[in-house]
Amino acid sequence: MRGKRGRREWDAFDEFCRREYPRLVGSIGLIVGNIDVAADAVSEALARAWKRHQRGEDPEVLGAWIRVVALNIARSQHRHRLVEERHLPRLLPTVRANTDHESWGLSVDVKNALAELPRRQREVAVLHFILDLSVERIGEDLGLAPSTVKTSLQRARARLNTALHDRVGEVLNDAS
Amino acid sequence: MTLHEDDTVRDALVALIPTDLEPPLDRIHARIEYRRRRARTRLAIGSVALVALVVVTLSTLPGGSAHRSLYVTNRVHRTRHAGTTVVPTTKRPVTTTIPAVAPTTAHVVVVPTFPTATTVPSVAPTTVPQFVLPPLTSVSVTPTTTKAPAPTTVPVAAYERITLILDDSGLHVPQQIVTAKQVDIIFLDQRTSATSVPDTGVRVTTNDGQSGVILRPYHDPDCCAWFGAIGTIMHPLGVVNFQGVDTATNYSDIPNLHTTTKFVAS
Repeated sequence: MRGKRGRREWDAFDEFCRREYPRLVGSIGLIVGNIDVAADAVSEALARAWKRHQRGEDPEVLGAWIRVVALNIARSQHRHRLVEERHLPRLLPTVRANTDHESWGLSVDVKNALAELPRRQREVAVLHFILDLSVERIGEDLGLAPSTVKTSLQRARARLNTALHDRVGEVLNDAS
Repeated sequence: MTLHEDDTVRDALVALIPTDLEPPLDRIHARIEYRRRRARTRLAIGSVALVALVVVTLSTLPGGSAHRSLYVTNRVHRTRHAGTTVVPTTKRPVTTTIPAVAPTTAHVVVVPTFPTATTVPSVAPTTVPQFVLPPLTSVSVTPTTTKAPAPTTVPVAAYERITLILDDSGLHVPQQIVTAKQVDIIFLDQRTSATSVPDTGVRVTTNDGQSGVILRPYHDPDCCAWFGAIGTIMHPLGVVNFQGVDTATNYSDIPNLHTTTKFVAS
């Protein structure tokens, strides 16, 4: 049984999870292109964050930590899933691997535009545009120099803008 | 690039984020509990007198947790123990010799089964693959805390407790396992064990009529992490080579086998 203090800690943590979960899953899902992997990675990162939360770590610091951990987990899982998918048809011909965006219901155009970006540009773009992280913060999270982040961001922005140019009105209408 | 264009890209990307995602709080809480339990297990396992943790990696699928954990394990050992013998390969079984760093109280054997023509049949997951696991007869401990150059071989009968962990068991359930004595058998599989272990009709029978084998299908989706914990346990406890690996031999006449346990595929 948890005491009052323990109960309060859990409640605060649950609230923290509710607040952070959707954006984290969404953004990491866009980076790795798989919502299931992203959800699993974020859940694991949140579980790992519990002890830090208990120690009273600043929510903002904790949020950044979770973001990095979840992204690392998701990258790792995604990498291994790709290996598995490459070999699975040879071993088990009857099993069809469930891949990536199929269950997302995303706009195909936007999805394709993102997917065509190199990994670093995709990560930088998602972290900047969706999570509103500064160039410096992204550099710290991804272990990159700020100038590298800026360059990647600029290239991603240009490519996305070009790719979305014809369809952006439609996307925005769908979103509203 | 204009500010307007920047906002356009931002809006388009933000529109992709699902807004109705609810965090799986129960699942997150379960993971927290699981991590707490695992931490306790790590502490407790070192105090048991003489325990053999036998980890048999059944994953013949590259990218599976067992396959993955082997590489993780190898990497850890390579970096932390100079002189460690590690032979990573995807073509034949790996022998991992891990020097003991403390008086050894638990032994871990890793028996990987990598893809070969005989161990990886191309079958649907509902079919039981036909292969026999090597018998658990002895383990050899390679101490580095003493100057003894040769590994010490210990028959498994000397162990007080043996736990056989079948990693990634969902895909490949062994047809037969010959053990020296009673063992705890834990099936680990992230995706398929919940259905495939019971569904493949694997039964446990013993030659002498005793039923000392505990079957514990482990369905927790965190089993990969659990296996990671085993890998962590391996590191400080040291150990071992697997002895007598020969998948084609009938081991029923091995002297130190007290109880022969068979997994019979129906």
